[in-house]
Amino acid sequence: MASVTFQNVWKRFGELTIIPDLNLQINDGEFIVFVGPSGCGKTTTLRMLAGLETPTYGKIFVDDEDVTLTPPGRRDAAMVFQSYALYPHMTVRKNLAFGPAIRGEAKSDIARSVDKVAQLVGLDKLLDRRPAELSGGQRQRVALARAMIRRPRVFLLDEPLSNLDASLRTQMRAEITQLQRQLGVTTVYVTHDQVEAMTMGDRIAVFDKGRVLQVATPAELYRSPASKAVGTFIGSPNMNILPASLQHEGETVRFDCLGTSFGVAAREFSGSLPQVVELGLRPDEIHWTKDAPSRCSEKISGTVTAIETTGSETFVLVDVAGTLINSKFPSFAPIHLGDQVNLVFDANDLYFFDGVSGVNLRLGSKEPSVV
Amino acid sequence: MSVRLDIPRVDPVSFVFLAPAALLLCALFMGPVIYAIYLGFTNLQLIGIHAINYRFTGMSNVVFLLHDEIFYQSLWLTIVFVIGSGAIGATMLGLVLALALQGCMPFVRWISSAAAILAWTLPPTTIAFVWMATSTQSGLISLLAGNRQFDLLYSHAMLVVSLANAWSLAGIAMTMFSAALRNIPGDLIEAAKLEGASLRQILTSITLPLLKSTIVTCALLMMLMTFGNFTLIYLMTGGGPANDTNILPVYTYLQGFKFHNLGYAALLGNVVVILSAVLGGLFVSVTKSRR
Ligand SMILES: Nc1ncnc2c1ncn2[C@@H]1O[C@H](COP(=O)(O)OP(=O)(O)O)[C@@H](O)[C@H]1O
Ligand SMILES: [Mg+2]
Repeated sequence: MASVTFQNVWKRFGELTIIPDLNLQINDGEFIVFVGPSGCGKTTTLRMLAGLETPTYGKIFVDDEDVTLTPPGRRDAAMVFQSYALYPHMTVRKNLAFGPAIRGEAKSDIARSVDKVAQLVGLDKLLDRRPAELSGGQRQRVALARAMIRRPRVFLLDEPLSNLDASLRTQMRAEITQLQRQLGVTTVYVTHDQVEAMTMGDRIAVFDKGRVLQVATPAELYRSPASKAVGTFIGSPNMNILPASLQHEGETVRFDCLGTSFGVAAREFSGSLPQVVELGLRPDEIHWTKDAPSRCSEKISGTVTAIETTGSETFVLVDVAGTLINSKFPSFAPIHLGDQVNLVFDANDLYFFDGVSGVNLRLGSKEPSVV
Repeated sequence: MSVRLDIPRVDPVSFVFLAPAALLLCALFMGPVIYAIYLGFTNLQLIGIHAINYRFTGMSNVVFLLHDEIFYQSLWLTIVFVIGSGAIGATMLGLVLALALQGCMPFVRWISSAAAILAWTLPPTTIAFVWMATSTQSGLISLLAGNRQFDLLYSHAMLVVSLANAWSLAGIAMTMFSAALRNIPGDLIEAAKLEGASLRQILTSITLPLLKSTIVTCALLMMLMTFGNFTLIYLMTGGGPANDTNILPVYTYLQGFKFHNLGYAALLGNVVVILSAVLGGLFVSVTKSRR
């Protein structure tokens, strides 16, 4: 078990900067998830921690030890590769025993730990098969077991579930989190799937273009995203972004947004307000008038352009004065394409973003008061 | 139960369409081969009265063969040459080259593989000349040994021709191994590194086992190509000195065209055909079973 620190870490491939100046602290025993769109540098960061990639500048610490230039074999990190990287010419048993045998453990100890870890992930019947004779889920378990056969200082998992089908993914999600709680090993889990991140992580680091936008618990991330990018990335379906104009009226700020107007106390905002703002509103918090809580007082209306039903819920895309707004309707609401609908929302549910930098302007205040 | 559709089916019409090809093959390939087999049982000579008036002599050539000490020596030398120089020498050299070039700078890799492939495409005459210039009196090796009289080709003829043959074939072996190495996923090696495996452990427990099928295929191919490498030995030593490098193809040539015993040479040729057929069959069955 160990804590991990990235200190001003840069990574360049040739002249291309992939990671510019990463600073990140991972706590002892924590399950941290790196989430972000494909190609944003999550794997590269993980590989630098594993020692498979050398940072261009900066330092990486495990506990207080500087491991920046330590070869991968001496870092005591176990990794599950996205491709699983099982040795195709070895049986499952040999695959699991490879690491301990390399480290010169006694034969009887190896056999015991192979049996134990196989039991743990439910592989005991498959020990004599080769990887080619296993299903995707079983291979994934072998990869997991191979990483878990020792107690490493850190566990590194690179999109371990992305090759599995949806139901197996849900099941493995729960199993992996449970195993991690049981073992208590510091774990870095990489995924591009924000649902996976939200359900698994103690904390989540949101990556974009090689930068960490925010590191926070799932609840914090959802309730107070640091920026528009985080806000729109976290939550499914995506947060709506509404254009708005603002006027200062003494102690309040008046916003005009898609035909509705409301005031917010100026002290709600940290610092002075920029010229251009954008409002964020989650689809769950914009309602059909016929299905709205009474606190919703801001009314907008538009035309239905698309309907998506999952069974338990219906999401309707409404064109409000040229802005497409996704909103949650009751399941199987009597709505048709082209219908004119009225939507309402509560201004307290809004997020206020700087129109240029995307910074969240109302960070920290949990219970805003709308005038 | 109806006829299974998922097993190979034969349409009689296909024989009709295959017939022309079969005829050509029989006339132009099988015919001469059968005729050559027949010649092995005659007293045909290159010159003299038996050059025209030759006749079937039954098993007398075979009896002579079974008592021909040079034949046994030649068979042994052939095996030594094919296995030592082909299966082991050329294959190992190619494998070592491919492994060594795997991780080095692109420029060095490019130059080295170009050189190895050039050696492979050189005509046998050039290869023979290069190696003779290196290994005979006043050659590079004797200069390095500090003794201009030293003639390695004379004193260790088999060793030198084996080296020359392995040298000329290493390029193709290296190309095969480089391709196979590129097909080993990098993350397997990375996973082993994370477990703390040393480079030697990675080589012995990951890389070599994954190259096993390529090693077998390459060794067989090298044996086949070595077996056919008559020109190099004939040019360098002519089978000598004192029959030291007299492998079967060379001995066959000497019997037929130096000693004029075409009939006996044809019988030796039959032995060569049988041996290479066995090798070729092995090669085909090994490469097939990998699919
Ligand atoms: N070895 C490499 N050489 C050059 N570019 C690379 C290399 N590895 C990754 N990249 C680039 O770095 C970026 C980030 O890659 P990666 O860390 O794999 O993203 P992620 O895992 O977040 O999807 C990508 O644009 C990718 O093309
Ligand atoms: Mg990745």
